[in-house]
Amino acid sequence: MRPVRSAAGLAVQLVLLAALTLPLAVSSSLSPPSAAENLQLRLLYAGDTAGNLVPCG
Amino acid sequence: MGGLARRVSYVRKKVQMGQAAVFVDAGGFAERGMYAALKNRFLLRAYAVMGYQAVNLAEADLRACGDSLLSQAQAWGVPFVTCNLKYADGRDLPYARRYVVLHPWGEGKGAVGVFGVALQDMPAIGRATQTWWRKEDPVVCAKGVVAQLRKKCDLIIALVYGQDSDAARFAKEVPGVDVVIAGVGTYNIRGPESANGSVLCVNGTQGKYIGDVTLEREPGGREWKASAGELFPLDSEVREDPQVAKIVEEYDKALREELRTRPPAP
Repeated sequence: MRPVRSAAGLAVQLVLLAALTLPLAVSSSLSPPSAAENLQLRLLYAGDTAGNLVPCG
Repeated sequence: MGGLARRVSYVRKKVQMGQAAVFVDAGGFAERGMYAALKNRFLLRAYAVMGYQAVNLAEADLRACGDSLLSQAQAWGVPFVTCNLKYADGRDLPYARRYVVLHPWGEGKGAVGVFGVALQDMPAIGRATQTWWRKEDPVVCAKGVVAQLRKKCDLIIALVYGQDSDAARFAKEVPGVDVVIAGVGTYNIRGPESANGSVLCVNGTQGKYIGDVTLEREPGGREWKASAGELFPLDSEVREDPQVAKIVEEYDKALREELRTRPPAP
């Protein structure tokens, strides 16, 4: 963008900037994961806290 | 019980804000024996505030807690799951769901299905032959759940109460399960490792460790792999969560009172 020289020019540039960036933000928050996406998940787990099931054999 | 306060503290410290994470329990939490009723009540009070997203039920848990405490725990917020434990007359247990569907990447951005299955019961010491519940075929029940979850989930996790060899066989017999988490024994640690098309994780350490695995699905792929994983010891290096530590403190106080009024037989 060219440097702005007036308040009106600044307003126009802000509107243009918002118009350009808003669809990107909305689409990234609503788009479902596609097969092309790299998905990561942290899995935290515990089990047999009581220790009732003793391995045998 | 002290390990519970460290378990939740580890989860809250390690999972960064906004990071996709799931926190689950493979079951076998309830104790049997003298004073166990008191302990199980406090343990489930702690489970209710620990932030679990799914807690599997074992037959040992049904036997030790009973219908009433499990109902109460579900009302407190413990998210029980089981796909093959039912009342003896075939009705579903009202405090457990067959599975839960989670959205760790945010709403509308993919889903994780978690279900529970009881494979094995604890050793038969003084066990009644008649029970108020029944265990249905785990493989048949699990296949039914997986068929439903496959339509709506990117990742399917099975919480299995049983030996690790049985859990590995379960992964083979129930195709479509991405991750099998088994909890067995007093010191039994395995994985994450590849087992019959699934990632197998075993954490049977009486709560002394927490499993922490990072799963990854490559772009264009269907298969999930463990890109990092460890079983972290919950020793004194891990700070205790104050909320759960307070419940443990209340339990200690209640136990002392119980021992005073109902001392163990000489």
